[in-house]
Amino acid sequence: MALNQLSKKLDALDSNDIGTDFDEARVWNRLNERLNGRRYPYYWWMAAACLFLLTTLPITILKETEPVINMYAESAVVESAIKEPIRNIEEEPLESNTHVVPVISPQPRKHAELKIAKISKLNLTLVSIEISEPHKEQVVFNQKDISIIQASLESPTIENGRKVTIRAQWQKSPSEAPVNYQALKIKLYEKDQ
Amino acid sequence: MLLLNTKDLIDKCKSGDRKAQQMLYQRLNAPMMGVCIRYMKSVEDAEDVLLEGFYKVFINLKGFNYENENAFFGWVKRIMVNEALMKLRKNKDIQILAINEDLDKEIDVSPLSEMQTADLLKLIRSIPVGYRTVFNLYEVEGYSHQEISEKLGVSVGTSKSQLFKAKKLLKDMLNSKDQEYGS
Repeated sequence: MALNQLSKKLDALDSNDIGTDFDEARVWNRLNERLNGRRYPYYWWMAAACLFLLTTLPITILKETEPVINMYAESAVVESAIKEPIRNIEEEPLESNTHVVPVISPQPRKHAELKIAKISKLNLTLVSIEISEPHKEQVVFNQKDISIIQASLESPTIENGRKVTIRAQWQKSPSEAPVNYQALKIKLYEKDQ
Repeated sequence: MLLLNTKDLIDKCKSGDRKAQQMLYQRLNAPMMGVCIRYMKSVEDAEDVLLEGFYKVFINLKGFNYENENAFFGWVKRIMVNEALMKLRKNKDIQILAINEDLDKEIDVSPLSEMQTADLLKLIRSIPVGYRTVFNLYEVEGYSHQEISEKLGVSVGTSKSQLFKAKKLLKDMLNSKDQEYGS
């Protein structure tokens, strides 16, 4: 049972009874600042949203325009566009004078996003694979591990120098099972004509 | 504004009137600081609790239905007590050990209520924080041992033993004080 008198006595304290250097004005000033800070919380949200947009938008744009490193600089660059329906590519293997530079995309894409017809089998001579910021859980492949790529293209036509995303499986050799599945970005070049 | 009664003041506070909030703070800060200081070790900690407590009062005021002044005072006090307990837990100040001895033995601490308020507060603040917390919650705030055990996360027995120790210590201190005056 509480001692009612004790409770009443302590509840009726005035600032002299407290007997400490309690500064009520200082506490009020801090409280006032705290309450002012709460008054416009949506300003902070707006500022945070703007900051987010300012930082992410240029990165997205940069990623879109990011050039693929051309490892064939001395032999590659093409004048004419490769503009052919994907079925043509399916029917005919890529000519030996066409180089493919694959670049591993940092994030694997969902399968559903890829609509396209398949390239039945591409025998690629890989020169380089650029792996940008590989995810921790993502298997990263060594260039030497890849000899065959089976891929599907994201868009039905391929323009000269255009970066195309494909989904692919690759193998060390035809006798081995595919070692993984990954979204790639490739850029097609044609050798000097 | 100076003539506003508590209900009107609360209504104005609910609409975010800063002057009214300041006035309410001025009315309540001394007794509420008294609540905070009897739980906390330092004045700085008590001020932090007071600030946080008033902040929560103003934030939650909209949901409070005013009935009478005592109920409002009790509501604010409960917020302060809860804030103080949170702060004690955060600072890991409460170290409550179970002491199972003489739990049912009554110790008379009624002389405490005859003390001057400032002396009483000083005496309560001088005992260890675990004893003090349970003593405040039980004897001053009027919580049951069951409620205290839930608030502090200890057993009912531990709460009882802490109260017993607190009372014993306070009584010893009162006796030694009497002896000092007597000699």
